[in-house]
Amino acid sequence: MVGHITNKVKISENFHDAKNASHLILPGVGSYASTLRKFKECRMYEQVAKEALESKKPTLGICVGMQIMSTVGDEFGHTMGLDWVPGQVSKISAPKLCLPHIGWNTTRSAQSDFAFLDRKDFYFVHSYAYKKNEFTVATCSYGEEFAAVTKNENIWGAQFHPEKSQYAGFQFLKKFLTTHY
Amino acid sequence: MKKKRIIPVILLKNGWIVQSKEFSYFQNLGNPSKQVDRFSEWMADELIYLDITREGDYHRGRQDLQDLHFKNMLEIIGHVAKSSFMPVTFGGKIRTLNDVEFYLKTGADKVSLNSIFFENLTIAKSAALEFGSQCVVGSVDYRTIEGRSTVFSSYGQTNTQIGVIDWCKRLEDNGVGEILLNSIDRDGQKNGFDIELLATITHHISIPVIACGGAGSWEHFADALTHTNVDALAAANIFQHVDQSLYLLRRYLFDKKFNVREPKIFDIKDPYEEDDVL
Repeated sequence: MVGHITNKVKISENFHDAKNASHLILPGVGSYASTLRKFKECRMYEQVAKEALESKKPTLGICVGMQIMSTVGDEFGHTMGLDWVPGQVSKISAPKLCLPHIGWNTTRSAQSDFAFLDRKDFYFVHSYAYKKNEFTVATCSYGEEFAAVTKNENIWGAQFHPEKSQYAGFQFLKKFLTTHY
Repeated sequence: MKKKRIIPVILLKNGWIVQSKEFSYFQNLGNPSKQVDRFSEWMADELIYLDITREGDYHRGRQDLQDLHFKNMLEIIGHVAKSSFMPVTFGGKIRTLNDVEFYLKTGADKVSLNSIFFENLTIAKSAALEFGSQCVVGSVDYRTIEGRSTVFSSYGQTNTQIGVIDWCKRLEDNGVGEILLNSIDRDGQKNGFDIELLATITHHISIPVIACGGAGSWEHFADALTHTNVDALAAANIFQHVDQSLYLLRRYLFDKKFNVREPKIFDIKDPYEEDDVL
């Protein structure tokens, strides 16, 4: 999808690419602990962290990519996260509903900059979620209200998969890719 | 509120799309490369591709038609993943964790596993630990024999004697994130979904159920949404023959106030929609 918005996109494990990139995207499919481990083990990790935290490049984590940016996650036991966007990731509390939370659900905007997210449907697929806190800019409800989009300065997180969310996904990614700090 | 999903299932046999009846009669419907663009345009909630090839090589597209050449399933996955902006599940012949990883890396969002569970149920746990249980769909084929819903293996040929609800519970306990429940008896019969089993099963398991098998009219989907609590309804044959069928079905259900996404047509030339507030 990013390739349709701009042709200047690259999937990379090379730290030079992180240095030269204008935006960074950390996609995620997997479990919290294994994704965090793989990210920290990869050769790019330190450069990406530097670009995100020091150079303040716009950085977007998607799904598990967003979750590992938390302070702590409790999937398969307690795991300390990157703490780039403080918060806690824990299992969604939805006693009468099925889990994982899979399918199209509606986001509500929690901050005026993100008003374009209000009442939009995105595709979610997860059992764990960020607890709502001061870094939450959009929410979603399923059993409980949790963070759909988080933001700490230049670092964003999306619980849904914008690349799998058709129109709404394109709008969201365009907003991210046209934001500069 | 989370919407109920309507999911087209595309059956692939030797690289061609096929239509099936009771898992045995197969009619060739064409090349998958063109069809994915249509489902993308109709904004399908998701797609499920199942490779039901039993023997033989994959189709090589004809040069004069300028079709893409799909030497194997992985090429199909790669092409579909690039052309669709909704989640895609791939299943069929996935035998090891390496297969799972490869399919996910090539572009599948979820993988559907079936036969492998009869040899090794714990592979779901390993896949869940490594890739997350939301990637693992357990596909369950069944027939109703003397009033009992029984799981069948080997492309619906072998009676395992295991009850469907029991088997689904075991899959859930072993880390599977979703169940794709296929009624062999109703496959291709256009007599409606198996309402009786579907209404019961959601009381016994807490992972989402995708019901498949039997859809012949829009009313069948409405019945299943009214009388059962399944998370999604899937169908193969019905979406292959009627032009814009997916759009028409969603319009029918949406206008009757069922909890489905509003139907729209997706235009890749203008992917941001009219209300571009950016």
